[in-house]
Amino acid sequence: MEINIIKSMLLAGSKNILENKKTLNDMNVFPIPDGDTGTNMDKTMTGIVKVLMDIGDRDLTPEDFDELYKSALMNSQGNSGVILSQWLKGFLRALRTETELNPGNLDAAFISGTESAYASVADPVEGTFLTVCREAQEDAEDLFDEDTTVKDFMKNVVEGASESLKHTPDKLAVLKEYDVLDSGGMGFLCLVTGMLSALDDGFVYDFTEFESLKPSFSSNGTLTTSSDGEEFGYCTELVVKIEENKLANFNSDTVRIDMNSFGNSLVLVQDGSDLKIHIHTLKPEDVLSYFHKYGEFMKLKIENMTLQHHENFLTAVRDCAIVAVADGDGMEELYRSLGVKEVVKGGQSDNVSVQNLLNACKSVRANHVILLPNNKNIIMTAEKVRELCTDSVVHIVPTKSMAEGYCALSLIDAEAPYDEIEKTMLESLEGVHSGFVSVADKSGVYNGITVNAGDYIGVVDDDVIVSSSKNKKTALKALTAAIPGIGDVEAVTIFCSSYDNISDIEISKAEVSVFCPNAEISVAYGGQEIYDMVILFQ
Amino acid sequence: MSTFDIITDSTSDLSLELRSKFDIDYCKMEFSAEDKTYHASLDWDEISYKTFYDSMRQGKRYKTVQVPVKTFDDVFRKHLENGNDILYIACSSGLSGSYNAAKVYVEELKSDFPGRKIVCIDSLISGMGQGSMAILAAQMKAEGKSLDETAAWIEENKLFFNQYGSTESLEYLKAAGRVTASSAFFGNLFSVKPILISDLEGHNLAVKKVKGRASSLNELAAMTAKYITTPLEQTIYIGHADDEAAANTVADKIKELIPGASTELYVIGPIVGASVGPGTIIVFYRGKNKKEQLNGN
Repeated sequence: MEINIIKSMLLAGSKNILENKKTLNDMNVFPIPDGDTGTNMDKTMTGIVKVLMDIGDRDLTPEDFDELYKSALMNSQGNSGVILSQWLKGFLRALRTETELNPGNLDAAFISGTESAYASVADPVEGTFLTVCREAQEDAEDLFDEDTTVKDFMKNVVEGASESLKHTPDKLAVLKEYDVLDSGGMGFLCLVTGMLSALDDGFVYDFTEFESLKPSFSSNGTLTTSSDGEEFGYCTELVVKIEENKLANFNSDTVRIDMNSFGNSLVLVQDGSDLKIHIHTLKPEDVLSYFHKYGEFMKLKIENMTLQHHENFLTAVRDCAIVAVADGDGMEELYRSLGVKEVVKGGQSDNVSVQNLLNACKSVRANHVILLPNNKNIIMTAEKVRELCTDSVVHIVPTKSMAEGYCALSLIDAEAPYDEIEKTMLESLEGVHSGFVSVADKSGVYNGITVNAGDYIGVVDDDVIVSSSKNKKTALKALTAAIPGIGDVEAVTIFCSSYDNISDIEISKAEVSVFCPNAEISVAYGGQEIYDMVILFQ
Repeated sequence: MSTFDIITDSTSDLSLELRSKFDIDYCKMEFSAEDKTYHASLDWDEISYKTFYDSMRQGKRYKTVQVPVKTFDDVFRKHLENGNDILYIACSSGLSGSYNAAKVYVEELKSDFPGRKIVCIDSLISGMGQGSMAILAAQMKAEGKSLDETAAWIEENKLFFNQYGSTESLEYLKAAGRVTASSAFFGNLFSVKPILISDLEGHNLAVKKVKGRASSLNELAAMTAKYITTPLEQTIYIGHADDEAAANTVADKIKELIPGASTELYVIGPIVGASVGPGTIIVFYRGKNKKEQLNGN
């Protein structure tokens, strides 16, 4: 079988993950029940699909394998996304110079994928993606004989993955508590099931599901990408409400073709009568008048990229800059006030991608970047960024919550040398605890506590649920009581969400002070969306 | 030969007892809130310190005014007319315009008192750092040292007078503009206490931030112990803006670290108090040169 079949297999795998995205999200309980595994794995596969689109009909070259991996990694976000990208790394590297695909080198590629995935995790946990990818390959290899075809092998991989997945709750207690299978492992099953389907005669190699990812062609017909940063002109974004009587005549394919003569980097998304356009053009006025005939602009944004380019170019390189991941306008403002140069929006259920974080690290133009991931799930993404960032030395201060991030920032002098900042940050995190109150989005038993979806849960240090209650106050009390050494806590800072009201916060202060009567309790506006309250105990 | 008198101003925070004991006079600055102006009396003649600090806790903000030239004129003339020369030890020029105003005014005054000596010294510090400089000058005078000798000694040694202070809130210092630090250093902070020393230009310099009140008090004691020299041959002054308990805590810790140390508590006067806010604790001592302290040696 020609090696080019890999293109179909990867595309089919991506499609299957996309189709099962919601299911995967809903299953997600490990390491944090934040329902993002499907989204994360889909993002990684999106990276694969983008490159497949670029490759088009031509034959695969060894460099294509490198590009496929690189793009998967760059698009990955969250633990599950990064681990998947690392599995792909091993899988793709093993096949890089092959001209045909046979059961032998396919097996070797699966072994290489397993090894690479395991190597990416400092402390591998069984009952997860790792177990499923390993056991699937082992089962398929056990059934391997001289009559085995590529399709047979893939069938055995799928069966092995399916069998392995069933046993994940035996290996990971938290899955049993929630009575679910591992979502990452399920994602792997989706991937290989898709890959197998590509070997069917009826498989159609098309990108229909990935319409929005399609690259655009410039007027002379050559492919343009936006990765080299050498673009000039105006970045033009608009949202148009297509008038009802014009909706029937609106043809996005025609518009797409028309736009080729206006510029490049086109993104065009239609949702009913809403049309969203992003394009880099030298003549934004032409783009505006083109779309104005379909309806009114709901939103308009035009930026001079040449100017941006020059401004960036003129900004001197700093010695040190701090980049942090945070959610909430208040939180962002607080962080910036304490010297953070770039805040990347993200957090628990909205993990940032390696690419976004890498871009942020690059944009600050510093010799040293201090990175605050502010979430356990993002620490791994940050580590990838550290590997990939060639412009700066990236130092990760492994903050597990936005509260910890604030704590690390509060004692530094942002203008001090990077090593001093890093040292002060690490010291300031010693003996510090944080917690949050949030609404549970799924039911289950965790840490011996029965959680009902919709309950307020009190969580200590990012992942230990200590309470579940209909009452926010109860969750807050339990969480405060569970903070180690609460009686000696000197200072408490409560970061409230955008929907908390003042009387709630005053009650919260009183509740907390019962447990640490000597503490100075402050309230700050965080504006975060996912947590009702984020609390720092120092 | 005429002798000389020692004069300071409202930021020296010298109590009536110390002023009487060492025969030190002072020029009053002023402070005001909502159209009412007070003379910055170190004896709290016009407003009690409790009322003053409580009003700040309730949100009242005071503006401070450097020594008015009219006041210099009154005080300096009085001493000169009594036949004495003047050694004026002024609040740090990094914090107040009093020193520069005095220098300008003294040139005018000289024509009225030809041949008389008025020496102005920029203490490059405030509070009991400035106060103890005046006390030492008084002691030298008592030992028979001349105005020139005393002034020369103070000039040479003034960088050895230093402070470690911590405020309850950064708000007052920021509002008063009497602190040096980058804006990011001061960002939006909660429960974080700055540690302030006096720098070579006599500015309050925020050198560090620590978590929580108790840690900040420990830090003051530890830094004092680290930088003090001849600890048993001086009085360590601990000023507080209406938080005697905290000042006592610091005193106890200092005595733990420096057995036999002599400490004295006092209430921070209205001018320094208006700039630092209620709850502030400042330790004054003679120690290593400010340069070394700034470099963290």
